Amino acid sequence: MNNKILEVIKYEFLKIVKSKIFIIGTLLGPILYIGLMFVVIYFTEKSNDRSNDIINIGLLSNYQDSTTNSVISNLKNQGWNIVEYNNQDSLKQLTIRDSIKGYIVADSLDQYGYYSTNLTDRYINNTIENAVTATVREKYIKESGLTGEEISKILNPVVFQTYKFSEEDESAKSTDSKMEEASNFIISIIIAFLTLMLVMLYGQTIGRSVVTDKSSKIVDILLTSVNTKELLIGKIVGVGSAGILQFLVWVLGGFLFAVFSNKFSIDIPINLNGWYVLIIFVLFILGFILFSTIYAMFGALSDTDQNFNQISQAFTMITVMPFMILSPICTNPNSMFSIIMSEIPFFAPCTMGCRIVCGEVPIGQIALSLILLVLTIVIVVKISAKIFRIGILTSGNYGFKDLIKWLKTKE
Amino acid sequence: MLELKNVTKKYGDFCAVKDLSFKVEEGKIVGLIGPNGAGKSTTIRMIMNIINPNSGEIILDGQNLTIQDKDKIGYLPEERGLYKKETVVNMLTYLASLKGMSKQDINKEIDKWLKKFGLFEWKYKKLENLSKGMSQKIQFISTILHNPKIIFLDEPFSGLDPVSSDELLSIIKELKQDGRIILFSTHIMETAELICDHIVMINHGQKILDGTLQEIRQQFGSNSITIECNGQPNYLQKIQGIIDVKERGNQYDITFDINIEINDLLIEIITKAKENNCLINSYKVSQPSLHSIFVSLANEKTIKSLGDN
Repeated sequence: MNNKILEVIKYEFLKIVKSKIFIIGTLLGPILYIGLMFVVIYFTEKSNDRSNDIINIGLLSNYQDSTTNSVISNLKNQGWNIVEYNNQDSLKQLTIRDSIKGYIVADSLDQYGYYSTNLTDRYINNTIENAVTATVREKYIKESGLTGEEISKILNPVVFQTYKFSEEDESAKSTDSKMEEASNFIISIIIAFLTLMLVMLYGQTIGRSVVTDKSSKIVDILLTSVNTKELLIGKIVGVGSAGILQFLVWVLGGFLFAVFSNKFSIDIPINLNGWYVLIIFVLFILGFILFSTIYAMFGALSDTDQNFNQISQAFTMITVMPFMILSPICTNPNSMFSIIMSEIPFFAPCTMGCRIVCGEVPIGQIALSLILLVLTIVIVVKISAKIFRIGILTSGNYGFKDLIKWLKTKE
Repeated sequence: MLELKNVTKKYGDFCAVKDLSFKVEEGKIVGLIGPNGAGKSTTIRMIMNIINPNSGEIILDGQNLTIQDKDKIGYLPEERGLYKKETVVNMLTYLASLKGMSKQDINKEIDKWLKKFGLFEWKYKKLENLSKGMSQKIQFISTILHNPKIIFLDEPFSGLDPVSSDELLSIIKELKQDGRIILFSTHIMETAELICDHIVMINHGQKILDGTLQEIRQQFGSNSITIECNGQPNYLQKIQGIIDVKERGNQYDITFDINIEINDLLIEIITKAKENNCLINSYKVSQPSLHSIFVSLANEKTIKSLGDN
């Protein structure tokens, strides 16, 4: 690499890295994300564990049976306060005045209802439903004349455990499949989000930097020192290095968070080995080169930032598309849909990364997506470099015909 | 010496520059003039090695101009461009480092030139905080900081006050004496007359004028007479060979057909004045200005090219 490209890289890299926005974004970004995740985890845990909550509930029994008392004692055992009334209107008033959350109406042994002004608290609904179901079921079983041992066998849940093994590690390990699915999904989203966000952010930064060069007319001065290819490479590598630096800081932040969260016994099972991390990183770099080259070309075709936004809008839509198809890919990473989506070069940096996180991906498919991505980059770089070379020196509106003419122009 | 030999540049079917040849010697200032869209920018970009000609040669000191010669070029474009958010020192350092200058030399030269232009205290200020004139000076410094052999100045005086213009003019003269190859482009012909040793005019991508100011004036002859008289010399319009008469108070600028003998014309004017009781106080055979040559040539070529089409 010649000294001039290095000078452009150095300048573009330092210009971004020294900016306040970069420093704040790099440092605060992970803190913000981790903080947000902690808040989510805290509230999820808190909403799951409400055993200490004292909940006031009313009860109106329209028939006389010991089952109702069993329901009351079941709920009282969970720390709830139950107030019995014979009059539904009084219970309604108490609910409206917020003295009780709501009230249960027992119409018959098989017919219970819960009335409240707010039915969105699933914890209350589920607890009442469980208490009623358990009590009534127990009454029926007892009446059937089974022994205590038989009853406990019926009522105790079956032990169901999931086990995971792979080609490399055939020893099946017990896993919490729901937890793993959830954590894989979260990791996929984080990877897709980081890749997309940084590729878009820095791709557009490169595009805008080209627009600035063009609109400030400094490009003529720069081109008396470097050629268009050197300028293009310098910008992509310079701005890209800043993006990679931010990516690494954030990944490191994520890693520290994983270590840190283990200390707080929040178990995050991670289904990643070193090779996969490397492939995801390579996919990120290739995606970055592909998108930033295209954004640089858009920059060369624009005279103003506004113009650039208009030109790049449709392309940005394609860029964010993988984010919308993430869920089906994570649920079924080896379906035909997922395979096709992870082989399309413009989606691969995101979608292949997700498939790798969520399941075993045959090495052939990974290789194919990398080859297709590299081939696309070669073609896109050739086209972009040609358009960049002419576009950066001209101004005005260009039609498709102009671009074709530019592509045919020999150097 | 910088020499363009039969340089042609086409964009598709459009020929931006056609068979252009001229020379610029060391220690000389050559004015490259022409109306808008004449092919100046394309010519400049070819000399700057930004674009390559389709045919012809650009030769510097006997060798074809190559990518390596980019460091020997300093360019002040007409439309000034610097990063407004950047500090003066960072901007100058970046542009000079792209020209292959060492960090040490850059620092030394920046201080020298900033002091010379009285801008040293602005060294660490952002360019957006500088006045237009100051930015112009910074732009000029960036053009010559790396000691270029070829200097291209496009409208260097625009936006400068008379004091700054004089300051810049004296530095351009210093650079000329130092033996630099200086190309100069302007639309203000009076400035070109003041600075340039040699003029090259292009229009529609072709050279239509090439020579020293004296040569050009001689080439276009003295087809203009100014007379000062009392009374209305309405008879002037009727004299054969007179093309145009412009009134300026009691002075009249008379443009005449170049094929008419000047002495015959003067006799005719004086005879007619006497017949019409008009007293001529003075007369002067005036040299055509570069401005009038430019205007007449630009119009002539435009009309001709329109006719060709």
